[in-house]
Amino acid sequence: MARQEAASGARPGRHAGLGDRGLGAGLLAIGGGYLAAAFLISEPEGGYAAVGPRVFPVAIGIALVAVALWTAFRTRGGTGAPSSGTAEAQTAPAPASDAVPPAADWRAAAPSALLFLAYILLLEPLGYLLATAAFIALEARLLGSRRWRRDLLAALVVSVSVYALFSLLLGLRLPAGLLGGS
Amino acid sequence: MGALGQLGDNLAVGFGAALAPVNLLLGIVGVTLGTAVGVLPGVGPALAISMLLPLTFGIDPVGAFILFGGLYYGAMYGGSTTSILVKMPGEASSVMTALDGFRMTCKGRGGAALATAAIGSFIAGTFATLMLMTMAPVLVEVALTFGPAEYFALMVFALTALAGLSQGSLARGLAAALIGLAIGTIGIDVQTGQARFTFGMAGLLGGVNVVVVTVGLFAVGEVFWYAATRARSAGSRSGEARGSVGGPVRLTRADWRRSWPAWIRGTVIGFFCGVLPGAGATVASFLAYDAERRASKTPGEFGDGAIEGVAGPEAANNASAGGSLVPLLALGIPGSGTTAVMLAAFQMYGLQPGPLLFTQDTTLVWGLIASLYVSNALLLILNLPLIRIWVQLLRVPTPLLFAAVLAFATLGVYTLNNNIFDVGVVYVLGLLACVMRRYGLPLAPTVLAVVLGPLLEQEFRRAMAIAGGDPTVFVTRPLSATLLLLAVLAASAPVLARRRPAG
Repeated sequence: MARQEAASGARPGRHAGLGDRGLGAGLLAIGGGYLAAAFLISEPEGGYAAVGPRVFPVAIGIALVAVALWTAFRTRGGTGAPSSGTAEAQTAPAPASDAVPPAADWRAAAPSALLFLAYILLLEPLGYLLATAAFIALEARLLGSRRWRRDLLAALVVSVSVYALFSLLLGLRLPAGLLGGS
Repeated sequence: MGALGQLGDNLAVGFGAALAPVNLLLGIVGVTLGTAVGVLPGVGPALAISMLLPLTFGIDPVGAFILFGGLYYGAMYGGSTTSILVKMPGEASSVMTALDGFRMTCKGRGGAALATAAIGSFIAGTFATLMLMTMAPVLVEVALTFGPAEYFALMVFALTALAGLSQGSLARGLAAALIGLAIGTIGIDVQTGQARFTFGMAGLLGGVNVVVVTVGLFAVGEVFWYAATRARSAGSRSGEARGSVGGPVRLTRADWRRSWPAWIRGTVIGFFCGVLPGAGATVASFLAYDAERRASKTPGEFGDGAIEGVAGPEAANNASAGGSLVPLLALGIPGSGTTAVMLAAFQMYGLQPGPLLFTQDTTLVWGLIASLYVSNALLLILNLPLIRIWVQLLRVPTPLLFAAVLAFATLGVYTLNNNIFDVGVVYVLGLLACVMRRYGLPLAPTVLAVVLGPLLEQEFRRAMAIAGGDPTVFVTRPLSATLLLLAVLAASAPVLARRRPAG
C-alpha cells in the first residue's frame, strides 16, 4: 500500500506547475486506490461486532477522496506553496531547514536514493561492516562532500564502533556477511 | 492534606528512581544527546527518540523514559545556542530566538542572550514540570469517567487540531492525517483476524511499526529532501558565519529585570500550547515572541537585539515540552509528533499511558516526572560552561552527518525484527515524505495518525458495540459531543484567523 502511495504521488512530481490541482490529483489517486482496496476486505458473516473490519478503511478512503476534490477545486488561487503558520512567521528569518520548500530537483536526489537502495539490498550479503563503511563514504560524496580520505576514515570509525557496540555490548545480531568467516 | 501527602510519597518514589545511578547516567546521556539533536539542523527529538527505540530494548522502561525525557528537554534547550550564535536554528521552535538572539551576538551581547535562554529554559522547564505534576492527576480523575466514545472524540480532536495548526492549509493537514490513518490500517485487524492492505506480503501482516514510520518519514525523508534541494539552497547550511560568544555568559542587573517577566509569560504561554494538541513548541515560541513585543514599552527594539525576544520564546518552547506530556501521561493521547513517538515507545514496552498507568505504575510515571527536574538541572549545569563545545558540532559536515543518519536509520529499523523488509518499507516512506513535502503536506499529522489510528478504530468499534450499532452515541453523550465540537472549532479557527488579515 505504502509503495503504491509513493509511486502515484511521485508521478505528477516530475512535471512543473505543481499546485493544488496536482496535489488533488495525487490524493485522488491514493484515495481512490485505497478505497478500492478497502472494498476488497471481506466482512465476516454473522459477526457479533457492530462494526466490521471494512467500515473504518472505507470511511478513511471516502474522506481522502473528499479532501482530494476539495483541494483540486477550491476557488482560492493557491499556488501550492504553503503559507507560513502565523502572521509572525513572515518576519522570521529563513531557517536553515525550509519553512517554504524550495523547488526540489528529483534528478539530483536520484543517485543518493539509488545508493541507499543498493545499501539495503547488499547489507545482508556483504555484511554490516563492509556495506556500512562503503555506504557512508559514498553517500557523503553524493551529498556534496569532496574530501574522500576524511569521509572514508569517518565511515570506518562509525561502522566499526557501531558494530562493536551492538554485537559486543548489546548482544544484537548484525549481518556478518563476507567477514563472517563461516 | 491527604492529596498532598500522596504527592509527597509519589515524588519520593520518583526521585528514588530518577536518582538511581543507572538512571541518572541515562538522564545525562539523554540531555547530552538531546542538546546535540537540538543543535543539529534537520535532526529533531521525534527522529532521535525513534532511532533510539530499538537500542533501548535492553533497558527497563523507567530508564528508557528517563532517557527520552532528558532528550526531549535537551533538544528544546539545544536549539537556542546555534540560533543565537550563528543564526541557524536547530529546530523550528527556535526560529524566533534567532531574530533577536543573533542581533545580540552581532552587538557583542551573545553571552547575555545565551544566559537568558539557558536560565529561562531552566525556569520554564521546572515550572512546566511542576504544573504537569499537579495537572496530570486532576486530568486522570476526569479521564476515569471516559468511555470509548469520549476517547474516540478526544483522538479526533487531537488529530484535527494538529492538522489545522500545521503549516499550510487545513486541507493539506487533513490529507496528511488521512494518509497516516490509511497506513495505520495496514495489517491484521485485531478484532476479526482479517488481513487488510497486506497484498500478500507477510512483512505487512503485523502492521507498519511506528518506528518504521517515523524513521522513514523524518530521517530518510529528511536526507532525500536535502539531496533534492541541496543545489538550490547551497551555502545556506555551510555556516560561514561563525559567531563568537562575545562577552561573559551572564546577565546584568538590567537584563535580569527585563528577562523575568518574559520568562514568566513565556512559561505560561508555552505550557498551555503544549497541553493543547497541535499547538506545540513552534506555535508557543511565535505566540511568546508576539506577546513580548506587545508588552514591551520599546517595541521598535524587537528584531534588533531585544533580550525579551530571546527570553520569552526560549521559555515558551521548553515549557511546551512539559505541557505536551500532560495529555500523553494522563490520557494516553499525544498531541504532537514527538509525544506520538513516545506513545509508541510505551506501546513497545506493552504499556498504555493513561489513567491506569498513573495509578498502577507509580515508579514509571513519577520516575519520569522526577527525572525531568533532574534533566533541567543537568542541562543548566552541563551546558552553560560547554556552549563553545556545542557550537563546534556545526563543524560536522552535513553530507557526512546525513550519510550517517541513513546508516543509523537502517541499523535501528533492521534490529527491530532482524528483518530487511522493514528497511524496505522505511525506504518507501522516505520517498513518500519527500513527495509530501514537495506538495506542502506536513509530516507530524501523519505520524500522529499512524500512532492513533488503530486506537481510534478500536474505540470507535467499542463505542458502537456498546451502543448496539447506533452511531448517534458520539453526539448524544455530552462530553463526547463537546470534544467533537472542539475538533471542528480547532480545525476551522486557524483557517478563519488566517483569512481575516489577508482579506
